[in-house]
Amino acid sequence: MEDKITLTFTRRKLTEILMGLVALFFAGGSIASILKYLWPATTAKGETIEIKIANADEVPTGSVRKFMFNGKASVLLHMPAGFRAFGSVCTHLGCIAYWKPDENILFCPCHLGKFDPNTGAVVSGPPPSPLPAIDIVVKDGAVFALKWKDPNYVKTISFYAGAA
Amino acid sequence: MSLLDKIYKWLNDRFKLRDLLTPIVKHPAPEYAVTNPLYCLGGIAFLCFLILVGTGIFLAMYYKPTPLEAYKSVEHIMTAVPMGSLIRSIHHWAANTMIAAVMLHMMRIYFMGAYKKPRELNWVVGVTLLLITTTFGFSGYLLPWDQLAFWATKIGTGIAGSIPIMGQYISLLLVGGNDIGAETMTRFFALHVMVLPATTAFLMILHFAMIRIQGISGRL
Amino acid sequence: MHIEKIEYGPEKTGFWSQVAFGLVILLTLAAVVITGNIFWKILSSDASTASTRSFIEEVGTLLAYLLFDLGAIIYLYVKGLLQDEYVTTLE
Repeated sequence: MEDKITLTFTRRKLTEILMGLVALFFAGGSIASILKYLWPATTAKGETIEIKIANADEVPTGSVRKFMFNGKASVLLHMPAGFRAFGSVCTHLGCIAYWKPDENILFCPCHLGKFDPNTGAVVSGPPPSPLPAIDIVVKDGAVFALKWKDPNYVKTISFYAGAA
Repeated sequence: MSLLDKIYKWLNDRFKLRDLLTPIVKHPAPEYAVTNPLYCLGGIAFLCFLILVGTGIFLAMYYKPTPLEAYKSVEHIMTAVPMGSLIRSIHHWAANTMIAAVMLHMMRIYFMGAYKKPRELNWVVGVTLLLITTTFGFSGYLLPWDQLAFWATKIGTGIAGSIPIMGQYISLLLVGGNDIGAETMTRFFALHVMVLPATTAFLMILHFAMIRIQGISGRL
Repeated sequence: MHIEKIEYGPEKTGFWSQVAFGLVILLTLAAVVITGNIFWKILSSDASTASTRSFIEEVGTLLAYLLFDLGAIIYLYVKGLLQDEYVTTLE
């Protein structure tokens, strides 16, 4: 019958479609280039260099020393059982926990989270997981921080991003 | 002819100012809109925006956007710059007033049904402006680089980072790294002073143009 | 200024228009290759090489090639595929 559906695909149309695809390709590449420009350069800190925290006699029993480890606030405690070191960024929402000697805890003031100073475990409050421990060694009368005890655990805590 | 008339005639002879300005300046507003103070809220927000731009420009002349200098520069503005504390205080209060005004304006539009056809697109533009206004507040809050600023930003970027899949990338782009620091400050300053004002100005032009074309919506 | 709707009319026919069309296809492929080249260079470079003068000059020359390529495509499109009758009146 005469009811033919005609589909005209002219050379003109093909050219226009191709040009549109090239333009789309160019636009996509431009956006990718802009993102590359804006993307922050995060340096992977995978080194396990010994970092000297302090001399052993500077941190008597019952006192603490704050230090930076892989860019995160950390704390060295001299407990009766020995030296302990933890990352002090609270696992709840990222505030810094501090040593509260009267209660014998690491205390986060934001939402009253409490951590055990010997193990880093959560004593009470909203933190979902313990403070990550740092392996330390005492030699030549000074305390050195070596590495995270459990780097895979540190990788799971968003507030320690870039530290493991 | 008075001096003002002479100036107007000079401009009018060259730019046809009368034809351009008359429809903009002389337009009837419905009686219910002029007498009800709720209809002023949008204008209050715009006025606050103009005040913020003005005071912001003056603040930007003395503010230094690096972690070492930021707090000191703000202290300098507050104590050593003539009328600096006034400018900063106006900026602070205008910002709070603007947020309150846009929220109340949005509620007024909603409860009066002024978002309905044919004004749907204007509602969309309005909500976008609301989100930009809150982003303004968020980015400006970091700039004094005091405890309040730092921790508020930590919370805010933490919330952004908790979005399921895109979260960590959004957080990375916002913070400019893993921790809030100098990179974050420069990014927020660029956003607060350059990107957001330009976007707001453009969206406001759209918003006002649509209102002029469509008129104030009918009475309650 | 008053611009009439541009009427292209039927496409040009003939041997040379086919040649033009074929060239347009080839040039489009070339444009894709050049664009891909540019963005591959940009996206796979590290930060320090991407800031050197030689890098920027290379990207610049590629962009210039792309520009002339697109210019050639448009020229062949207009001359080889369109009829001569398109109407604009300026009054």
